[in-house]
Amino acid sequence: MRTGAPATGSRGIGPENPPPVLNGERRTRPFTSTRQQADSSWPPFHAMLTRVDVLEQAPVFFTLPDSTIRKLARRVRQIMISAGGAIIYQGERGDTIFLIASGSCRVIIERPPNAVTVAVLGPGDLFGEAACVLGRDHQASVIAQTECRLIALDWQTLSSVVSRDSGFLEELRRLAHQRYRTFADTAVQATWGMLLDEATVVGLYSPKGGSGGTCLALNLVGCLSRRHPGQVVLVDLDFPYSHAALLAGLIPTSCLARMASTPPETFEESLLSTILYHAGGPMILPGALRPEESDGVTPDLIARAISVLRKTFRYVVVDLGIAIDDATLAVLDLTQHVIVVAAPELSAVKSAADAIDILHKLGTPDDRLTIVLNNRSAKAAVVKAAVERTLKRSVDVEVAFDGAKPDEAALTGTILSLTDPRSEITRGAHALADILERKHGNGARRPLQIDAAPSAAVADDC
Amino acid sequence: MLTRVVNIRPLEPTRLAIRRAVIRRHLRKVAAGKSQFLNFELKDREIDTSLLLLEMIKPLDPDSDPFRRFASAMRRSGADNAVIDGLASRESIVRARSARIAGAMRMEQLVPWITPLLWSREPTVRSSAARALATIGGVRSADALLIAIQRLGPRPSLILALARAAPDLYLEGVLGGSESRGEEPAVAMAAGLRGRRVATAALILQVRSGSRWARIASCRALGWLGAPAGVLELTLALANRDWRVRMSAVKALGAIPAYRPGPQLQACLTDRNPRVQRSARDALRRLGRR
Repeated sequence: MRTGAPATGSRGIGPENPPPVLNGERRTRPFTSTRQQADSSWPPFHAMLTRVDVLEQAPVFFTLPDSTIRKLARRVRQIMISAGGAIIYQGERGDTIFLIASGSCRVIIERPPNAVTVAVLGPGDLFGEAACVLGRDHQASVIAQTECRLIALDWQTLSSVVSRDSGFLEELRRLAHQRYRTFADTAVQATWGMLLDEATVVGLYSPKGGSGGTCLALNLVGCLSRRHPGQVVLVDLDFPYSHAALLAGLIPTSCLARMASTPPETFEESLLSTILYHAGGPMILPGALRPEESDGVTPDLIARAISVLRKTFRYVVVDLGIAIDDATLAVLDLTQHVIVVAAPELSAVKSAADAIDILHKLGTPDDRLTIVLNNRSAKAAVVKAAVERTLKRSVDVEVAFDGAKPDEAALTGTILSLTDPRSEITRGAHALADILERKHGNGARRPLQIDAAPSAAVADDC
Repeated sequence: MLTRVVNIRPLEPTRLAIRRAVIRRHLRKVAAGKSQFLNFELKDREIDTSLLLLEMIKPLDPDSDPFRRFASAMRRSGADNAVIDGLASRESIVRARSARIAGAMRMEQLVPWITPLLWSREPTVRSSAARALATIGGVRSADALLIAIQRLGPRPSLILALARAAPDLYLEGVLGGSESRGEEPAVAMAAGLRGRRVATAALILQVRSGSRWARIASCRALGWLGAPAGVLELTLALANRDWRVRMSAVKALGAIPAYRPGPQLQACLTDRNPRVQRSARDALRRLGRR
């Protein structure tokens, strides 16, 4: 079942599900003196190891120092939830962050008469953070999809262990805001029928590092998403260091590489719940959070991911980085358009010429290939005419030098095409978007394709 | 006593009022960040300085800057040590005041010191300790309150404090646990008072297979939650042999807005116990009004 489909059957939210049970570490202690009882909560060694492991995997928590993680691990609770058990209910208040140690949970937003699954969370993920750190009511209900082992961390424990001035809580609040917006947007899309069919896949390839490929990809996505809000996604395959989320000021919680072991029946939901939502509209799917994870992104995984994304978005922009490996070739096979970014430097232009040759050999037609000359310095080492001579074709878009704006935007986590219309990067991104729209944008929104029952329900709702 | 003091020293009430005003003004300066120390003793014998401090702290959000300023001023001026000393004081009024300050300042590290005050002989100390733990909240506080319930029985103040202190899924975990130590009725009531729907499953389990008192408490708690999912179990409980369980189930069904009265509830109008009959009449009247 993909995002947007309702929770079906009676095995969803409901009290028919068995209640949660603590793992017994706390509750089975013999009653001794009061003071010892209240404060002698050292968990067994192996439980402690598991808890530390879960906390270290969780987004934002891994930034905490070891001593703080150990303190937290000593004081969290471990809870077992059987499959189908409700963990939190939408609209209620909450004071606890739940981290998934094992199993998977379904995040459901109820918009009567439908219930929309907005995410499927797996080990290492967390939920309940918005209610806990922002003081909001729970935005969604969460039920255990399989038997789950959770680590529960209440606000009191968190605030007493983590220093309020450490910046960690601020980071956690940012993550909570970000996910709140993501889930809300996904729910709106699913409910109001904005899910589309068969997107245009655009590969953005820069044969030399430092040519500004990621910056341009991000701004292109920003530009397209202003035209088609919520329908453009950037897949960051610029390995081994994927920085698109960082440049957009987002905190990745999962990535494509971690989807490799996801079972086929939940792949779509898990993938869509991995996507990060930027406040300005664009969405980002991180390829890998750590350099070593990039090996997990296989051509098969990319093909599966893109087939899912094509059904859901209008444009899928893939930042390909510099390497031509199996993953890049797999993407190039699936793209309808390729953008090659070159800086006006000798080595970059030479590499771009080689890349264009390879693309021609791979069968990319000329009209589906766009060359961008990105001026990264005030005075170009190689003039445009020389670049065109070397590439044996004209440059389609030239991005003028934009001063320190791209670097400043990266520091503040903003996307220039969303915030600064006068920026040269914005102009370049607009020019690229115009080309894409001219060649691939048909302007017609394709009909919603979700299950018959919810469609009817949505129609009723409208 | 005040009359006697006034007779001896007629300006004494005015002097005390002026002192209180001075302390309040100083506390406002601390809140505004203009002073970094508390310039008074918490164990002042003339005026209740802790009350003045609580007046200022209570409306503050624990994440707000003024609250943090108070916390740091207390640390700087050694008032937090005075609070710890106060919790072990021989004077009950000092213990109660210290517990109130510890609670208002969310001094979570003092939970082990507040816990023994829950079974103090003085009701003021007990109640201050329970309220302090309720305000502090978290697993440690909930653990302490649960221990107090085991020792002292299901007292309303402890149940209320437990409902406020327990973090998410704490009470549900206790109700769903394999071990029974007799605290289930109190925990069930706390879960009902807490008002989280996630407790419904655990309460239904207690109605189905709990002890007599656990069933009674769980039925009422399901009513407080107003959970339609509990209707089936509550309807079955109407046929229980124990009239208290029947009465509790009747009251709970009367409190569930989605419940449509069926023949089982109508039959309770002719129950052999008059209190069940009266409850059934009340429930039907209440449901009829909706």
